Amino acid sequence: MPSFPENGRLENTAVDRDDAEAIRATLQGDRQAFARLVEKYQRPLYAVLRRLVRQHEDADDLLQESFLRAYQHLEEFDLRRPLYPWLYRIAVNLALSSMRRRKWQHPAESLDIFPGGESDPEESAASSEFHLALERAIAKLPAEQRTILLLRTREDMSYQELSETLGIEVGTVMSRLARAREKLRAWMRPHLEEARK
Amino acid sequence: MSEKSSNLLTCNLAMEWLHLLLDSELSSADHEKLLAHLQTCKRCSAAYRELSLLEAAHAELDARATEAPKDYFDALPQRVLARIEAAERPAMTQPRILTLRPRSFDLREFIFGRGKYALAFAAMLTLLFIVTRHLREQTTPERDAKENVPPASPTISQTEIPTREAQPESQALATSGGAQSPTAEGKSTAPSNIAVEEVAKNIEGVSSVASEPAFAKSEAARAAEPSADSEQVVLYSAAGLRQALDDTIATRQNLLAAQPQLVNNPPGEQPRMPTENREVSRFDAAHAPAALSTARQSQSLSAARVPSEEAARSSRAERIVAVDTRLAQALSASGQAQTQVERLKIWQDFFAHSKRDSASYSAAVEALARRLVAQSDSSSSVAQVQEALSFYQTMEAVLAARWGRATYDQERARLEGLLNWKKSVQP
Repeated sequence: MPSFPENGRLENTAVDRDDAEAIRATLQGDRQAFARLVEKYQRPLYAVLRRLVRQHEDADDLLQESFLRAYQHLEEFDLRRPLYPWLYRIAVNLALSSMRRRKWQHPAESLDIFPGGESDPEESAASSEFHLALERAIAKLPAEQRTILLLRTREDMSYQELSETLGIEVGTVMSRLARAREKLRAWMRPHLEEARK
Repeated sequence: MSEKSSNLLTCNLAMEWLHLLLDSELSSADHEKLLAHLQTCKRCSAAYRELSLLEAAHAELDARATEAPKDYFDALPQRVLARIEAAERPAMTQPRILTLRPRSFDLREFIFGRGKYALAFAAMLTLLFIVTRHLREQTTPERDAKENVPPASPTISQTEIPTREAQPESQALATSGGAQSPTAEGKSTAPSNIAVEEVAKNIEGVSSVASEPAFAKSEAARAAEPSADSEQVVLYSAAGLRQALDDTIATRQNLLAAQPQLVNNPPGEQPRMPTENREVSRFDAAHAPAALSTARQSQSLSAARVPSEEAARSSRAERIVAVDTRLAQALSASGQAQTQVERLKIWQDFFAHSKRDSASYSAAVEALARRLVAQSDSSSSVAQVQEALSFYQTMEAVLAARWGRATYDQERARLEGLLNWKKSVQP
């Protein structure tokens, strides 16, 4: 049984003794031990980052940076706790910082959100238009609102988990989510009316 | 909270509960009340349908998340290790104050973190540029004039420093039509000799400097003598001035190295510098060593003003050559060390077997200090910064002697500021 969810989502995770051993070995200079940790957690963390930032190149860069930060702060890690949530928080916070920095850029101009084919071309076109508009609307949200919405919807995190991951009060979680959704609803109104027809 | 206890919800509260419902955070009792409200309120019901549609579409987007490229995960662990090594390598080989690590940029962190030092440094450089340019504009007419004055022989200490008041007189000399300017004559030569002429002009410039210690003194005096403007230059930019002087020395040494080629062209070969141009340039080999000597005197004047800057500026490789091989071995072993603990042990062993007043001891202290400070930034732990600062404080005498007091104080202040900030943000 892995001590982390394969889909990358932050669910109930347990302390893994192998992780603790690998961390001790890393702290004693065995970098291959850290490589084993990377190998173990790279897929779920990549899935999380890819869902958050979409672009493979961005996810790749953030993933490497996450492991680098983890390595640099490994001495501070509490071995009595599971490793995956710690790595998860590092990755998510790096992604949040990255999205904040890119707020002024054009996040929606090169989205690769439709890699797979659709069965019905007409349905595909209509669906793609709606989803593309939604993706662009999400990209227009302020970084804090966008991140919390992505974490809630894509990572299925609870209010409490969001509060702990982002370091904000539960009330703030609720208000940010509500504001983000209301903005999306306002921006997507023409598409929503079209979809109801 | 009377609304909650009532079966009738206001639309505002219903809208709040809609979000809780979407997030599965609404209690079952409130769920029932909300559903009852939605059955009677078209506006809230429409909002619920729209929000639900958006949630479903959003989840669908998530389901479309792509997989990583083929073989991506096979290579990632080694790429991460390479990135770790790359992140550690510059810290061993470069001084922190000159290191710009590629990292993500956060404006707030930059302004309130270590960026404030960078901003202060940029302001200092700008000020230096303005002051230096101002001084250069003032001294250029003097230099042009002095180049036409016959060589004088007094030493620097005997020579009067050119002043702004003397400038008109110097300009008068320059325009009096005495010796023809070599620069002007150089322009009349054939185009194919332009490059050679440029070198010749530069060498002429060296000779002119040698023949005019007054001008050489004026350069040195800007660093060493207490005039209002030059004091500012020294005060704000001793290191920058030292670098400028070093560049001058290097340029002149290069010109001297080129001298034999220009003077002694092999017979039968295309002369690199025609005889007439040699005459035009009035190149005098005897002046060149004197020029270098003068420039070195300028350097020594500046060095006397900021003696410890020399140690900070000289390259790491030069210092390794200067000390014993044991230090080189320790540096090498430290560079290959896998962990900070191992690295510190190497240096502790080295210090334990070194004399405190030896050059290798101080070089090792400096190497370790650079290592520690390079690891101290906004992402460092409090313990790391504390460790670096403690080492700085313990080795103050050694480091201040090698780097200069100003550089030492600057780095120490940065560490202290960083530590205070780290403590303030630590939960």
